[in-house]
Amino acid sequence: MINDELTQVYTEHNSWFKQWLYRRLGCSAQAADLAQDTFLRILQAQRKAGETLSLQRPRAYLVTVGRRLVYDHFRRQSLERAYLEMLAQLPELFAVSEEELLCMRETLQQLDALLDGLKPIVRSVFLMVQLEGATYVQVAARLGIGERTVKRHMARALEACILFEDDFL
Amino acid sequence: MLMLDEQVSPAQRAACARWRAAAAEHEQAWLKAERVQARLGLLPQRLAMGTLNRERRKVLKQLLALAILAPAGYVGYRQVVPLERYATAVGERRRLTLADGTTLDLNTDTVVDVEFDQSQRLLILQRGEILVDSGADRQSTQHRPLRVASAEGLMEALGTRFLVRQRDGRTQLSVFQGAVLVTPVHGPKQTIAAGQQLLFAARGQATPSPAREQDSQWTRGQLIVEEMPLAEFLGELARYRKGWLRCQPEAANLLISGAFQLDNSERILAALPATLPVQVEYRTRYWVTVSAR
Repeated sequence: MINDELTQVYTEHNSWFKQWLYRRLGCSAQAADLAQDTFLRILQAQRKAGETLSLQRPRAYLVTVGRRLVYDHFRRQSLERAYLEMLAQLPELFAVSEEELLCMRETLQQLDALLDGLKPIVRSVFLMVQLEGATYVQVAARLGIGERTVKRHMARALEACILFEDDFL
Repeated sequence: MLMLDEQVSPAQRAACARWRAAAAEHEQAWLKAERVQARLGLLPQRLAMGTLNRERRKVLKQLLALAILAPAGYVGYRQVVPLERYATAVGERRRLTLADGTTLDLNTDTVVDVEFDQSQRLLILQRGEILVDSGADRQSTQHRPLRVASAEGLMEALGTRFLVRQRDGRTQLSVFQGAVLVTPVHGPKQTIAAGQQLLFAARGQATPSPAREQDSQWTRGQLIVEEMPLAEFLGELARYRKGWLRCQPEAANLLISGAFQLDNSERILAALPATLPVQVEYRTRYWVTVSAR
């Protein structure tokens, strides 16, 4: 099925939109990739809704989706840097196979997206409990906050886990 | 969510079991939370902590810096000053001819803004390395100086071919023809003649040294070195590759000479053990360590 309205938006605004992305990314190949991604997302959103969304203000709509993708792009880059730095610091990972590393990297990307919307303190609490197996009392003492606050932060983080929409969960 | 804490009483466990059984959505939500936990469990603890719990404000800063380059009034501004940006990805090189006839070569991982107006032809080197072969600028009725701005200062071409490389905290200028007038951000002016190079910081006065024509050979896809310490050589090579290229300290001072084809850095790495007493280890495709054998 050809989506006429989206095709029209694409024809009319794609080159403008690529320019918009380019000014934010400083790389034309990346801009072209993200432009493609944006239209794909819109198409998927329409499929999911089972109807064609009427794009009253197409540029505003593209910018909204595009901004999110640009942000994700930079977030992935910063995760990648942190990942490489950690790898170099952790001798125990030298023995890990390439397949395992790839799997870890994908898992990290997914979890990173999930945790991104959380406040830094909420994220710290969640990771201390989940990764280090710290009890709420220990977390409270280490971060200098009340136990009740720790519980509230945990609840917030778990809510994010439950609401997070992605295929991997 | 209390279940994650070790200090959970049997009564609390029972209450939780009742909550999960009370409705299908409850059970689903619970399972979803558990799957996140399971995923986290797959990761080495220190790796996950060091990456997922990193400082994220830097990401936002980077975004803001880019937003400033494209202000709201951009479209109006553009009609007065045609601002163009050219960029290359890691491993990519590009040659352009600008409106004034200037030839501009961009080396790997480079961003340069071109701002021509009535009074000057300005190239802003945001990062990376460029080779400039200045054009005659015939269409302009008045003389417009050709200038390159780096983080450390301004360089004005006096009819010339020269190279500018943005290094960490310093700018490298190599002049191959003509001369270039250098003005550091907080330092005295200096004229650099053909055959000289200057590595200058924002402050203080630097001393010129002989320029190396080989430094411009990347425009032909070549890296030419003479007796270069291996660590420095790998540092150069790393500019053209994604990921990490590390050199162990024991191998750092081995000397290497030769002409290398930049488009195939894998082959260069593969050939290293044949010329030097080193071994090349691939942890992943993007993480390579060279160590003494």
